Amino acid sequence: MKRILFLFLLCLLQQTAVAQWSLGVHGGANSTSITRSHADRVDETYSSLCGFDLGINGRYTINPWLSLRADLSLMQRNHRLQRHLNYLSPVHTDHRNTYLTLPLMVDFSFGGSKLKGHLLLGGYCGYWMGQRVSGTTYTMSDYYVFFVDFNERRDFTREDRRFNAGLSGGVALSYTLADNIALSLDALYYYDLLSHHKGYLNLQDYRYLNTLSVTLGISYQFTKKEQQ
Amino acid sequence: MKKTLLISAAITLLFCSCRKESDYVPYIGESHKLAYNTYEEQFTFIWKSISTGYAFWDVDTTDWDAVYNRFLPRFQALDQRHAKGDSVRFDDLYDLYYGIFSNMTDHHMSVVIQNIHPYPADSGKLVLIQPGRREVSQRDYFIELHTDEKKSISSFLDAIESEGYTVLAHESGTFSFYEEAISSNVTYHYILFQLPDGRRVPYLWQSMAAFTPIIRSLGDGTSAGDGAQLLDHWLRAITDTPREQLAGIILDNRGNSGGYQDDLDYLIGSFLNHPVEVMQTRYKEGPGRLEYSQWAPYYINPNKKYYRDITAERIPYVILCDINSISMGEIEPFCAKTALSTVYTIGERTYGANSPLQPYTDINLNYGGPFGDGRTFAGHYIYTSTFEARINGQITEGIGHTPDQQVLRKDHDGSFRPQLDAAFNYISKF
Repeated sequence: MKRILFLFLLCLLQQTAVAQWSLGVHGGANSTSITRSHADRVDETYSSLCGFDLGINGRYTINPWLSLRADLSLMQRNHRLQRHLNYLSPVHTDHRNTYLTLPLMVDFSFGGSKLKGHLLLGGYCGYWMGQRVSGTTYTMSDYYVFFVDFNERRDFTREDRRFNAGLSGGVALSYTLADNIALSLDALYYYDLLSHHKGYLNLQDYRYLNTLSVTLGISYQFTKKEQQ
Repeated sequence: MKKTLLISAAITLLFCSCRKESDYVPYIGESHKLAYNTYEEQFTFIWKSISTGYAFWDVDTTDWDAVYNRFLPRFQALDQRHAKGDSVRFDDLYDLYYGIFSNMTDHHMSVVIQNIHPYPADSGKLVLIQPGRREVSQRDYFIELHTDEKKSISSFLDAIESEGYTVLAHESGTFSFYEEAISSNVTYHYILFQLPDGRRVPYLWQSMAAFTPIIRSLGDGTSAGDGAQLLDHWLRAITDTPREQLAGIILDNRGNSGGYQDDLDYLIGSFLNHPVEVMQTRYKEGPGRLEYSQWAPYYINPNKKYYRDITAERIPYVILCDINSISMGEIEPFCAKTALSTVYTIGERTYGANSPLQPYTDINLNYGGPFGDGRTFAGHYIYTSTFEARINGQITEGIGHTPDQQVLRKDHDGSFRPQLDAAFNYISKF
């Protein structure tokens, strides 16, 4: 991360082109999977679930092919645990996690004056704001199994790491509608480098989230200022 | 441009390798680990299994990481001793596992450890740690299990008959039943009392909670079938006696060692007029210590096979319990208090094994429950709760049920009678 920032600062110092700011909003959907250890029970699988991604983004254009982009996104990062043991097959838990995510990415752009392609690379930090779980659990007696549906907020425990960080990157298409207005279609991937489960001294069990987010955005270009 | 892209790609790859590999995290069903070569290996596997599979990490104050750091070197020392050709004394191994488990909250817990390199004189001797038993024995009102209920009941009957009570019926016996090819015995005393005012009190003493498997055998000619007939008579006396002749009901759970959760359908469901949530359970959903499922309500439904709405008819239902009422023996009065407004409990604060278990053969149910070899006890066998229970919003594991009226046997030279007297007094004045 430090190296990316260093490269960016170098570019800033050497810039000869026009620098300009833009601010935009974006919204869309994502799909999140979880990467866990092989502690999984044989009848337990994890799968992706969809969520929303809403946010604002700012861009600082350094030169025609290089800019810096920062987002502030409210993202759901959802995934499912499903049991398969024959008489417990209805049992599942959908984890609906809400994260406030702040990605900072270098944006390499190419293409024409109106339609441009973008390659984004960077990292993000985030904060796990809340979690909700829904699904089916069970209780049982000696002879019977009873299934119970649930949909409720889940409290955090000391095992949950709420600060989150990782790598982000992806591709985007932008189209300039008018002088100051541009539309964009982003496909960004968020790759956790911090486990959201803290684990224990002698028993680490890491859990990482992976999110592919596709959003539509619109941005407004604020200023156009000549620089030395 | 190319250079920048290459640098960025290299940084990305560098970060991608930053995800860490998890440790080996066993879940408790991995029975292939039952044969050990070293004490360290045995301890480490048990330590990890309890870390992932123990149902009470939210209330248990044991510092499990400190246990690892403190005891691992001591097990390594045992291995070194064995490597030098010495055997390991039973007492040495017992002291280590006692230090690890003796303060744990789970009152069902029973830890059985095989000494893998025993001193010849100790061969075949198994380490047995029961933290619940240890805690209960330190309570100031602790008293040993009353083992001769037959004699006590007989002397009680003799005494009260001279006080104007009449025994209209008395059936008792020890009955065998089979569940999954395992034979068990349960003892019952059904007595139909008549108070001096002429009203009746059907009374049942049960040595364990086996109502369900017994009553299912009604009429099949087996020993269990005979027991079922006795239970049928108790229930019929409750359901068929006219209200003006029925003073109340007594269920005597003193010394009840636990058993079947489905018994609640008879002992509570028979008297309910609508479904009632009597407790909630949850289980270990993952290997994290605090990784629980959501709480699931456990309901009892009205049981129309034997039915009387004792709440509507205001019939008092007294349940006797004591420090030796264990598991279902204490969950029954707990849940009955929750479900039925005319229930009144008398006796002593109960044992505190309040969370349900499933057999170790059901190890794949979730991340908790009994694990190891429960048949031959090879390597280890840890009997621990499958679920965590919450009754009236409280986790009462290790605490037990506190009765409405406390009458301690210890205050009466261990006598069986004062608690019974209290039950009859309550019913007479209700």
